[in-house]
Amino acid sequence: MELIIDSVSKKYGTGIWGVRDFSVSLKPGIVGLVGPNGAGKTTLMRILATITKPTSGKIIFTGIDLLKEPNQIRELLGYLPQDFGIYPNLNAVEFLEYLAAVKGLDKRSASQRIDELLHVVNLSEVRKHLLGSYSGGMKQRIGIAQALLTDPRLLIVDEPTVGLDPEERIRFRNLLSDLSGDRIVIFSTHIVSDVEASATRIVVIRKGRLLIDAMPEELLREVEGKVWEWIVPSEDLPSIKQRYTIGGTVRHLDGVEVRIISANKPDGDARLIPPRLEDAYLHLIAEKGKGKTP
Amino acid sequence: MKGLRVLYHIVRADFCERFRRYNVLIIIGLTIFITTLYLPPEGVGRLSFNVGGFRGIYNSAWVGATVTVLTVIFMSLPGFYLVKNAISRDEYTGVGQIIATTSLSKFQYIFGKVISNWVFLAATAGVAMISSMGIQLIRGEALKISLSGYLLPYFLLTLPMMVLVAAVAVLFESIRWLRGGFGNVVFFFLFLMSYWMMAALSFVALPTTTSSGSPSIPFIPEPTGALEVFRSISTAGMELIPGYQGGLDLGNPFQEYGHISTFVWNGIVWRVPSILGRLLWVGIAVGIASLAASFFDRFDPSSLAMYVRSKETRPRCELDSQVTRPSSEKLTSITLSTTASRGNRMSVYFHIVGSELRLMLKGRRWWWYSVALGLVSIALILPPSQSRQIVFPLVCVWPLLIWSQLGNREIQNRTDQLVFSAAFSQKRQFIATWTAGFILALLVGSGVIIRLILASDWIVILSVVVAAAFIPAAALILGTWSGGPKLFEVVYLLLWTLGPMNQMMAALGFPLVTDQFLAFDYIGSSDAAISEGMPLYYAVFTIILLVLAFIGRKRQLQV
Repeated sequence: MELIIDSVSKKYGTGIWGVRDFSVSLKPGIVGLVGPNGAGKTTLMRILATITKPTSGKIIFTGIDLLKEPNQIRELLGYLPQDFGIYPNLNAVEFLEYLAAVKGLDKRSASQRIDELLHVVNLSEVRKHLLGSYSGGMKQRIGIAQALLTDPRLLIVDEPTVGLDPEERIRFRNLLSDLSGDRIVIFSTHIVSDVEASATRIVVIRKGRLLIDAMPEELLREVEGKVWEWIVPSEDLPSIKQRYTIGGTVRHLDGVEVRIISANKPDGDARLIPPRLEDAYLHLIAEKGKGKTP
Repeated sequence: MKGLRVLYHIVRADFCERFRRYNVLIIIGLTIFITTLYLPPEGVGRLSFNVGGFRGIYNSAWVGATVTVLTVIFMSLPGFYLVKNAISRDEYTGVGQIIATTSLSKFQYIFGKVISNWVFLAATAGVAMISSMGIQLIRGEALKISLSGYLLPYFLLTLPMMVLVAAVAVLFESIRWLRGGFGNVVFFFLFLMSYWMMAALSFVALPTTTSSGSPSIPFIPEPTGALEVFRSISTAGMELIPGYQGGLDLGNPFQEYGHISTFVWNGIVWRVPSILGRLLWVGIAVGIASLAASFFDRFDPSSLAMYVRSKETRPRCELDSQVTRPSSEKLTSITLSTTASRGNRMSVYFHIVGSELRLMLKGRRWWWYSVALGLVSIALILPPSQSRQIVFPLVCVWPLLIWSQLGNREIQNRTDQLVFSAAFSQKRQFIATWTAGFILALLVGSGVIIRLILASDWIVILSVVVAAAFIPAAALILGTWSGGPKLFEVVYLLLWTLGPMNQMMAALGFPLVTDQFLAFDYIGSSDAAISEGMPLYYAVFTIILLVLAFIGRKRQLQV
């Protein structure tokens, strides 16, 4: 099973490029699609989900051309959009039954699947409550359930953890890990820690273009020996921010603990620490952007 | 000063947002088109406003008055629907929540919205007025442009009427239960009633006999101010047209009138009481705006909960807390075992139709079902002819707010990405949606159909079935192409008023407005419509609408 995205571009009517000459080939597993806000993640997701047509390029999934046979792709697709609505006068079961019907599922087996999905997304107890009374997080979980209705081979989830509490985030990540064995899961996010534990591949997109496509380990190797941590006086923080790519700050009684990415030791007191995926991402964005890392 | 600055920015933002939309061009284009129809060239036997078969020569006074009357009468309806989104847009986009946290008072906000509605309507009417100057020059009967001929009716008739429309639109938006489709229907009938009232009043208000000196005319408060124009034209006609006994014909631009005579009308002579009478409506608009401010909930979501059509109005956090949290052990052991299989084509189709019907009917209140059941029962009791001519027109309007969601429900509820990313959703869901709308019409009309079957009136049954097919097709095309329910609600109500309601009123003993509206009798409620072959025309029309709606859906699917 393979998803080939070949030189895909999308130009909007305003002349702005959403995605530009984007090529990548994906195998089963969780692919973390990471990029800053406005990088083109959602545009790419929508193209893959057959919602938006690309201006040029080709997408092939399991030998099927997405542009020529979108319905065949849709049969294999589960999609959780970044921003979606619900029908407030339906309850969770009715809403999922409706979407199961639209997706062409058999009524009886859909019913069993819905039961199981509601259990998985932890909504069984409120299954008969109208969706209009659901909180944002609960709606998000309904979105996750509908994406899994058809047991999709290609699962596309766009910023899926937005609105979920920490427990639900872990639950959802575990679910994706469980599902990813024999399918391609594309997990789009701007929060690197969301995909840190589960992604088998990281694809970084910036200004619509592919920045890097690598295994998480490869990315980490890039910043190995470049992540430093030490405590600085609060008043020095602005100048440090000017000079280095900051990975994080924590306030202490004696100053601010800064985590920076730098090829050279920034200070006598600085100590080398193991890198995280987020450090690698920041380093990459900075290096390919303004070339901030000294 | 700060308040004025805030007002300016509210007005500016709304104005820019609206004037950059294409539907403004449609409204302006339509107003100019109707104005052109009402100002036919010399030698063409079509007539505009006329008194005793005479019309005024096309000088600035006549052209300015014509465009003003048409604007205040005909632009009030679409204008209301165009601007009735100022508050709901802020709510939908979330901007309202930001505004609610500012120091802006409810009155400032509402007043700002009224002014922005007004500025938009006034600008649209202004463009139509400027264009009509061109029509005057093209017609060439009077080449001198007199600005007062255009500006006085614009300032004294158009602007007060538009501020009233602007305020009423904001009032409807401030009252939750008038904000949606129900409010659209209520305004339509209010408009219709005021139009009829104006027609009735014109009999009282217009002078009917020639007298020496000025005829005595009673003051009748009327928001459009069109009566002022009619009175002035009528009075001039009495002085200038021999044998004219009074009265005024609004004209029918589609009808051939034969030879047209002209006379010179130099416009309304504005006197202080008339001007004060017009300003009265501005005062009323301010009163309506104040009323709207008192109803306005300042985007408080808890007031929205009061309108959630359910027994469940409990707070969301309470519902969230009902869910038992999984233990940390459970967090790591999640699996999906069952796999849903795909059904065959027909079973899937019926499954979607059932789901669509449920989606349509879910959330309807008991009284909606009671009225629907009442229509079925009454139709069974009445004789077939009355069942068809009186009950079926009502059947064709009662589910209006359900049909109006067809083709745009996904956009309105933002479920489009979920639905449209499903395989074959264009064919499957589109056809199933229309079928559900068709079944709904048949269900509510089942009493009529059973009554007609018992009477073996097969041709009439066919016309009823065609109507049941036509309505959801019309809803689908207008819903898919406009992306909202409003266009169908307005256009369909207009069609229903000119067609079935017109015939229904005739069946109830009221006179027909005109026989010409037979073409709009899409339900075949009169024998004349059936003998003219209307069901057949509408059957063909339904197919065309479905094809165009299908293309519209295809367009929705791919961006």
